[in-house]
Amino acid sequence: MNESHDARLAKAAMRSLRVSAPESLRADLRRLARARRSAPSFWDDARGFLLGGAWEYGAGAAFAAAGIGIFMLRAVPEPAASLDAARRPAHAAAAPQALQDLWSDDDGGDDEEI
Amino acid sequence: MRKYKLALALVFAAGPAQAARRAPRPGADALLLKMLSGPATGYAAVERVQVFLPGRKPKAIKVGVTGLPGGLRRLEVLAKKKKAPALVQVRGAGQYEAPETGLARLRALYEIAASTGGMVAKRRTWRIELRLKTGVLRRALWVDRDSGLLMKRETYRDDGTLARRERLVKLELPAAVDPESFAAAPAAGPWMPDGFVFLGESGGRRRYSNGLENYDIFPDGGRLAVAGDLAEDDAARVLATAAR
Repeated sequence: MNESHDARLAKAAMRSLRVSAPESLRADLRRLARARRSAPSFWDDARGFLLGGAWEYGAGAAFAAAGIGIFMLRAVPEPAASLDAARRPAHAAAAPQALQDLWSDDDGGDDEEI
Repeated sequence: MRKYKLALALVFAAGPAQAARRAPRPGADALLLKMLSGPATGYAAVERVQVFLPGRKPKAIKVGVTGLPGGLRRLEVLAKKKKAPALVQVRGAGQYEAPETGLARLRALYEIAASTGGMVAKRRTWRIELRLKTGVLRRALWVDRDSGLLMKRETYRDDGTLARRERLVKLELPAAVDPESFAAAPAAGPWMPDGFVFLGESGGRRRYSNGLENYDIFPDGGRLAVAGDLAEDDAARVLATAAR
């Protein structure tokens, strides 16, 4: 948005200076306006990054995916509590479903009657 | 007027006399020995066991408990919406341990302190705190003042969060209990905490679970080791019987 605004300003300046400005200044303004028009925007950069076929983009995407994967693995909580985490079994196989089904959701309260 | 003054004086004098008759708090060792010995009569109770896993909803089961003098107990895990128990365990048969042995294990692992407890299942209790030598509170026990029955037990993680709560919510003591209901064959193998069952063995590693919590017994450098979701006293008792 800033670039189109700048281009409009440059055009307005060109219009106001068209009559009075010297030829050298007008040439500079024209060059400036052309440079503004031809500069790639942020969206062009992003589109190029995502869809571009260059191998650098693929490597960048793979690096980003690996980073996200590592973050997700670290963010997943431990499967169960351990009173002594250092001595927790290395493999925490799930208990049989029949045993798990004995347990029901609870409000966690410390009530006298149930 | 003088009569009123006399009555008031009697009331004020009776207060301290009443307080003096209040039973003194027994020592922590005596309380634990009484608890480990169990009640001298039969009893029947309903226990609620709650497990608090980090980042998950609390889970609970309801257990019917009947007991006889000498530490025999029958546990019936009551299934949801079913009349028949889903799991029955008879504890104490073939797993007897002298109360003095249990006390020595607790003494070796914890700093123990007794204080006044509240009411649990309409019974007055003493509260016993078991702290690791590092100062971490591992367990709190509520023991019935009259019978020594363990009424409530809470287990805490190293960070102080509650890991587990077991609480009697209904109690009939004394109760007529049929000794025939304890006639199950003694369970072979190492001692297990209430509610745990043997799942199987793989690569020399024996696994036990109650559906939510697990622990393993495995060889480690020529000796047996225990690891998993157990407090230190339970782990020590498992390890002491692991060679069975």
